[in-house]
Amino acid sequence: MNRPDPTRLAIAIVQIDDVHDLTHLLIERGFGVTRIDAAGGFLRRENAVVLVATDEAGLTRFHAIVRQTCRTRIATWVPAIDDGTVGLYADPVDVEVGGAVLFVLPIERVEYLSGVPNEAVAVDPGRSLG
Amino acid sequence: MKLLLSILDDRSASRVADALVAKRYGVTRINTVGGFLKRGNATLLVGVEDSQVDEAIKVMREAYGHAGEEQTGPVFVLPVAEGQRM
Repeated sequence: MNRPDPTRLAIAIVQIDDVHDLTHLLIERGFGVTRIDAAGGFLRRENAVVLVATDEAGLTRFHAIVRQTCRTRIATWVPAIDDGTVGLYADPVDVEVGGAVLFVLPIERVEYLSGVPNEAVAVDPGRSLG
Repeated sequence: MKLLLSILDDRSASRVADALVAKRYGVTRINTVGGFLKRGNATLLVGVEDSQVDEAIKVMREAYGHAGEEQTGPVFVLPVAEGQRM
């Protein structure tokens, strides 16, 4: 069975603590999900990149699922002082973590390496990033 | 320039990546986790000139080598605003 071709690639960067709930809910709602474990951000915490190919209608549902599963929270970060000073300590700093960073890229064309070939996806030149 | 992003099962990804490298395409493979069963799969990133898109997909299709009606092995063609080797 052939599905309609996706036109949008959503790239969500989320906290590792949220990725389990996010991917499960996405799969439950019928999204194909690819997960890349990564690291980054201010605290160099482990995070994950979630790739979902979808269309405009799916994107709206995708947004809602991300909002529902990737919540912002406050983590405490204690700055390290390693300049040899004895008895000096830095005040802990509250840092906001979680939530998600979302990039949506246009998909110009979709091919499958096996199966019945698609008719070429019509690309509106006005929409190209050029 | 275009970025081809393809999500494949582990074994196919190796064959497809090898075939691309043999044809001097630059390929980056990211081991990823996908779908339903949380099986290991791989995401391939291939940066190509506009004129090479069809040829690169042909190389990938031949190396992938799965027959059948079902559409598997998606390749997404993404526009690239700027690409350069530094």
